[in-house]
Amino acid sequence: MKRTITAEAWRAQRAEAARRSEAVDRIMPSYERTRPRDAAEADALRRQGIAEELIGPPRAPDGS
Amino acid sequence: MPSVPEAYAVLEALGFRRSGRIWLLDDPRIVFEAPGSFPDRADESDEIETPQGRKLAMLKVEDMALWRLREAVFWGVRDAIQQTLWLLEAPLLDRARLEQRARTEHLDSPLRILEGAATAQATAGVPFTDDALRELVTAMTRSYPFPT
Repeated sequence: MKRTITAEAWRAQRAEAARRSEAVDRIMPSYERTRPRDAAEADALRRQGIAEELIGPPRAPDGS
Repeated sequence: MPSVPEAYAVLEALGFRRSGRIWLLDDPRIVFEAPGSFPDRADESDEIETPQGRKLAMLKVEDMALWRLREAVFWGVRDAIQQTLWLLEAPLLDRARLEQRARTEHLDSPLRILEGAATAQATAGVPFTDDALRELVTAMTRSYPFPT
């Protein structure tokens, strides 16, 4: 069933969402993307100032 | 997001430029990924209503969580574990729907194993080690009924 969530309701749950995410972070290593990404996409993200740990490793030439 | 010329034209008029499956805006710096037009057959969306009354479709958080769980189970992606746990903690998550969808997708056992392990680590007050995460992913993968 489709729900309609107002922007106000969305904002109202953000503090609780952040608190719960921090609890997850306490049991996990620092977040680091492990999935490979195409070089062109990685370069575009780097130019936007995206942190390296969110960009992840380069995809190998064979696509793996 | 619909992958149609009209949608591209609106984004380009707003100053976005496309690089493969991502769209970029320089000021303010915004990046978003548009991997496809339509959700998977069994996925559903909710609507977010803006203060101006416009409605935006958003994949239901239960379906987002199950996609991340699949990445962990099928491809052993470690960061997908963390993303799954973040999504499972979303206040807007519909727990009954999540469990029903997980059963339908044969992901109920991996989900149970993941949540059990996360609860144990939280109770102990210690983070997962890399070895523990590898063992967790292996256990989740083994619990999935891959066709033989």
